[in-house]
Amino acid sequence: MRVGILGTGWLNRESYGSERLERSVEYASRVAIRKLGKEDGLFAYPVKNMGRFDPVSRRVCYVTALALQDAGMEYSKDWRQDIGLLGTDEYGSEQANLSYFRDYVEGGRTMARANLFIYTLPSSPLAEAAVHFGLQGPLLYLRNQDGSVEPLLATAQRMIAEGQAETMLVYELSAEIDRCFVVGKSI
Amino acid sequence: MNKVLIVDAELITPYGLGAELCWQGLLGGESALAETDRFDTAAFNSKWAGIVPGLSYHEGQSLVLQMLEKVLGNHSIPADAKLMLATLNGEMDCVEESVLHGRGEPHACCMTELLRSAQKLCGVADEGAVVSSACASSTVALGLAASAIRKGEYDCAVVVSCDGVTEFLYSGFSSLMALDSNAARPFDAKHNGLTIGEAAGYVVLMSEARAQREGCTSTGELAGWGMSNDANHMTGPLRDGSGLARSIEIALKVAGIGEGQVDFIAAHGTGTVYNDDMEMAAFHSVFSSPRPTYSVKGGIGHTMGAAGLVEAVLALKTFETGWVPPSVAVQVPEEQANGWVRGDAVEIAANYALSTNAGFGGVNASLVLKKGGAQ
Repeated sequence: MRVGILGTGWLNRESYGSERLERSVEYASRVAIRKLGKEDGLFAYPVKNMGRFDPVSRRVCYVTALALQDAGMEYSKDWRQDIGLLGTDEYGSEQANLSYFRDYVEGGRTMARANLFIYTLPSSPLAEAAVHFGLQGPLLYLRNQDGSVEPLLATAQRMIAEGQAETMLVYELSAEIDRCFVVGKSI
Repeated sequence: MNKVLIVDAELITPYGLGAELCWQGLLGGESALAETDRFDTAAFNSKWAGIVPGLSYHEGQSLVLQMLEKVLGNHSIPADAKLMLATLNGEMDCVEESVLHGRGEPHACCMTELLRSAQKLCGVADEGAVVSSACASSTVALGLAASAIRKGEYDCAVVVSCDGVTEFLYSGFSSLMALDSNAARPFDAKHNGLTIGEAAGYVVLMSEARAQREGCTSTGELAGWGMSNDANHMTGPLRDGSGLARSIEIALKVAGIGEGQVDFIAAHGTGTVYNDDMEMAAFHSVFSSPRPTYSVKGGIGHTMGAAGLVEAVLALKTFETGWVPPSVAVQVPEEQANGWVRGDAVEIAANYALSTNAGFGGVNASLVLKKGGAQ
């Protein structure tokens, strides 16, 4: 038994796909990804309130679905799985922070919007995926100064070996491409 | 397997600079919470906060950097220590200044910039990493660092944590109706919300072998850590506490002890009905009998991402002094906390402590701390 990458899903401005399934599907722009799940049968069941998600959370849900599909892993709204989430991106929740506080200031600094506030944590997009896919393992944002994903993969392997989770999803999110790696035990 | 020892730690909290000052305040049952004038609270459903004395707001340097300068000043961190910075979301007062006054460069408020500052203040060579896991951030960071030391990936780490009381956070928690209109009363029958607080601190972790080699004194051992997620709701916990219970059970397993060996619990205890009830449900499900349990948040408020580190450092004081502090502001414990939580201090000979945290997005994290030298 060893711990390795069992599947990978990715999403960029032109296309989305998965490694093992060797699938690559083009679409017009990231604006179109709202329709992606419906057209492609990507999700096993609809993502509740996805229209209200911030853009990063939507992207995280797409690459999660692609990666789980690539790894041949099923999920259901009726049960939870021992899968954790570990992600990094360049600027954390910077855009969500600005969106929330600008909206609050423009509203006269009297009434803040809870639905914008909840995305002001770098871990929030991972949390949306955890809720939808029923993932009850550790959940954290981890960012190294150089932004490399390798330390996250190593951390995920250590967490699995230690018994924190059976499987970990590792996210590398950037302006160019989003990737989700399924890290788990293989025979 | 390497043992992971805590060889140095310090805090700055609303009581002032020093873990000892905070400890004495809590032990005496005093609260450092007060009505704040840092920003206009007229539109919010509370005026209360846990404010660190002597910080300036919107006057150049961020709140968290001011706290880190104070807490890390005059302390010597091993230069080869691996660095982890744990925070909810860093310098939110810089975001405020950017939006309100057009000050600052784009990305100047991002957490990697704060990480660079923390690296300089610590004087370590490692560029470090930022860990953010909502209000369990520093608990998770301590667990990650301890895990790497136990596995032998490195033999020394410094975990730094900080979060400030900003209009950004205050308005957000107010919008969620999460604030108590008075000072928070975690686990009290009349608990009705949290009070935001601010704090910063650091913990130096070292392998037992290196600590012995260098003659470092240990205040305790970080023996176990566990993390989980509720996978339930963005802002509401699993009401039955099963998510938090899961992280406790993993932490006990990593520590290699049974629930019966835990002598006291440093709970998250935010003061919200949802959190406190969830947490007590978790304790009831894991533990076969009540243990002395307390929250420090009636004294210092909810210090967000720093909460776990603050609570772990204060739990070590129980090993040192033989006293479990009162849960400040508790007059009559809520029903589920009856027999567990008290409004006065309890004398105890403790060898093991459990510290728990939970947060937005359903995160849960638990630590098992062991008295230095305990078998």
